Amino acid sequence: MYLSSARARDAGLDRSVGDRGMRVPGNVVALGSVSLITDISSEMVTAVLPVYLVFGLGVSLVSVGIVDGLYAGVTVLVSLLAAHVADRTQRRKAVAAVGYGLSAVSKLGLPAVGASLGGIAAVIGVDRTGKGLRTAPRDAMISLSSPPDLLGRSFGVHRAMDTAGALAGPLVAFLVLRAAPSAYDAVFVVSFCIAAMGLVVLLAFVRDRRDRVAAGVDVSLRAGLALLRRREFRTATVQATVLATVTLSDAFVYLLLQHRLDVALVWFPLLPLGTSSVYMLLATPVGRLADRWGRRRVFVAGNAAMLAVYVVLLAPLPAAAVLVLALALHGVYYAATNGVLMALVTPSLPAPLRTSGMAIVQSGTAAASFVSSVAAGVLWSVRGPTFTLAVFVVGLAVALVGTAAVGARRRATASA
Amino acid sequence: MASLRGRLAAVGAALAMLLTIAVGYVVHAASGGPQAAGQVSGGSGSVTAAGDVGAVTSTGPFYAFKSSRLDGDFGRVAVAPASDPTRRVFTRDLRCNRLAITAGRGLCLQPATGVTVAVEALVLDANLAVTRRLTLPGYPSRAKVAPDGRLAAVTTFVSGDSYASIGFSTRTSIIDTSAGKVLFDLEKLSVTKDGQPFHAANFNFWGVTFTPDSRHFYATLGSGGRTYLIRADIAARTATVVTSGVECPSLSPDGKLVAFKKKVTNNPVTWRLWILDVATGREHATTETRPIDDQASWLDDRTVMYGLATDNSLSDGGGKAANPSAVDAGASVDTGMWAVAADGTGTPRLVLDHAWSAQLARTS
Repeated sequence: MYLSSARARDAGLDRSVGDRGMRVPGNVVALGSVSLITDISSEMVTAVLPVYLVFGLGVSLVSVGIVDGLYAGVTVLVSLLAAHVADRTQRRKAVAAVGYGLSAVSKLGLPAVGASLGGIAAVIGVDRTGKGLRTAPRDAMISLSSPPDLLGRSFGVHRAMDTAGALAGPLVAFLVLRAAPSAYDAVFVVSFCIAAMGLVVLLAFVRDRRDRVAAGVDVSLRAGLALLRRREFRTATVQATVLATVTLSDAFVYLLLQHRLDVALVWFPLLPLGTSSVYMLLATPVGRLADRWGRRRVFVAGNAAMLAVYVVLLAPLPAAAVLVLALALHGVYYAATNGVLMALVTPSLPAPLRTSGMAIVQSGTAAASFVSSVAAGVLWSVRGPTFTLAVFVVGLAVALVGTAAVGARRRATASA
Repeated sequence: MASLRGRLAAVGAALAMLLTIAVGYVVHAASGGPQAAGQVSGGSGSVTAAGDVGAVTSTGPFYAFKSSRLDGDFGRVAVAPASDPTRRVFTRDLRCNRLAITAGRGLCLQPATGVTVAVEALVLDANLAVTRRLTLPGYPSRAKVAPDGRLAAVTTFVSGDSYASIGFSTRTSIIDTSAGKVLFDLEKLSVTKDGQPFHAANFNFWGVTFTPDSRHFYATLGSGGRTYLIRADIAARTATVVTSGVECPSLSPDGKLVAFKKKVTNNPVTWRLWILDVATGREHATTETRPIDDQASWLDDRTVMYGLATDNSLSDGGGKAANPSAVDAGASVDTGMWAVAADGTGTPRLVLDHAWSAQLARTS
């Protein structure tokens, strides 16, 4: 019986409503602050990097095309290994600190390597490695610091703070360059200082909840991979990975928007701000909704929002409506999937292997996103934007129906 | 709790120190930092008073160009009589990264001021006064005006236009000069290659040059690491691939020859000035052996003019040549305009010192 089983599953719901006024755990706020500060640092570099390479270094415009994909595979491997180390030693904070440290140091590497393209590629590689190292341990610490029935809210708060930093980064870079025109080295030095501040906050205020982990549990690499034998976790990982494969990456969403609207190209670089603003505002409330209404449902609804983005891009609507609806729905997609997925898988991951589990989900979706980008790139160049979009509409719709069907069948077997 | 207080004090001190370094570095960079690149503000020093531009433009053939001497005049547009190129007369306040003039119509590209990366395209009259202005995305790159003056073409470099996260692509638009509006983007062209439809998402167009009848143009189409020369029909919005390996074409006034940059090395990318015979499809090198990155213009049907960076000013200290396309985008680099015979003979000669994006214009 659907209703009773749903109610049974959400038994914690009443309590969480009662706990509505409960404060967000200090450790989550601390980790959120670290991410906020770190994202200011990294996004200010991202904002100026192309311009720096061309004006600051005189690197030829045509040779600037460094493809991200090169790093995608490396990042996946690094994050899985780092997660294993974090679990084996139960020192998530230390592994995360190394990751934050590497990214901070890479900021100083940029002015140091000068115009050498190999050097620039290496520095970006170090930054990505740092990001690969820290993400899973960080999310594991969030999950270990949060009451189980408030996981969605905790991840939501973290993601909102993280996105706030990403929004502020380009603004800080703009202000630095306005104060000191063309002083790109100043942008990098400020970025390094801010990243170092993030590291200081991490070291000083984030606590690794080692006390919660029972001793004598197998934390081998094999045990980490064996997590996939757990049905709950496997189902969530497979579904998230399949959905990510048929989800267009951000760049394509903005390219399609640009293609669809055909005007206001000058504002193209500002499109991501629309998504991020909505994401930032909704991450926490949607996280709370996930805690009450069911994380799985919210996650599926979030992917449905992505499908709605596609539909809006194809729909015969006025340009302004397309712009507002697409960016708003894109923000909803992020708010309802990114942190919610972590909250969703947490209960099926034993604390000692939490980091490995997080890394497996994140690597799966990251690899799927990469595959999606490559496929979309090929489709786009062979058959054009509308065809590409149509393929992804069908793909995502099928994946969503499949996900919902699996959910319904499980509810049916559970109530039988 | 003393330990907490101690920890807070230590953290506060560390954060204050990092903040001091950050602010201090910005202040230092703001006061004595390097000269602004990416903005047309080339140098400090005296600014030459504006002269009577009309007296030059109405009395015979003249050069119009961007002054690239690294002083207060950097970026200002000046004119000089063809008979005496050293007698330069400055416009009052017209500053362009890239300039084109034909048949009493001019087009000036300058970076727009503001938060977004944009180009201000100014349509100019015979006396270099602004008649229309429009804003396009990206950094200035190329500009040409059709022989009849009614159409013009603008190429800009746009970042974030590609699904690779770091990278630039080019956008090229055909502009109606009297309306001051974009007529169409080259991405809207239906291109055919060997009789078959040819299209891809990674199409980039740059470097338009109009035919003498002003109804067609040639341009470079880049796709998947290859470059093609296309010939487009403006009214039909169609184009056909003519040949490959031709970048930044510039058609001679009689429409018979195309001066273009030919890629000779890949890493780093360097180009040389070559000539294509439209009728035969044959190509040959000019005697200019220095690497160029410019869309050439023509002094007459047999002589090509192009810009080169003045030695030293293009070196970043490590001996690495800076990217000349950054000159169009706005970097502060001193340059000169050179000319060479199109038939592959003779030696290059300096036409204008401290000049960029020069054109020889005739009184209309």
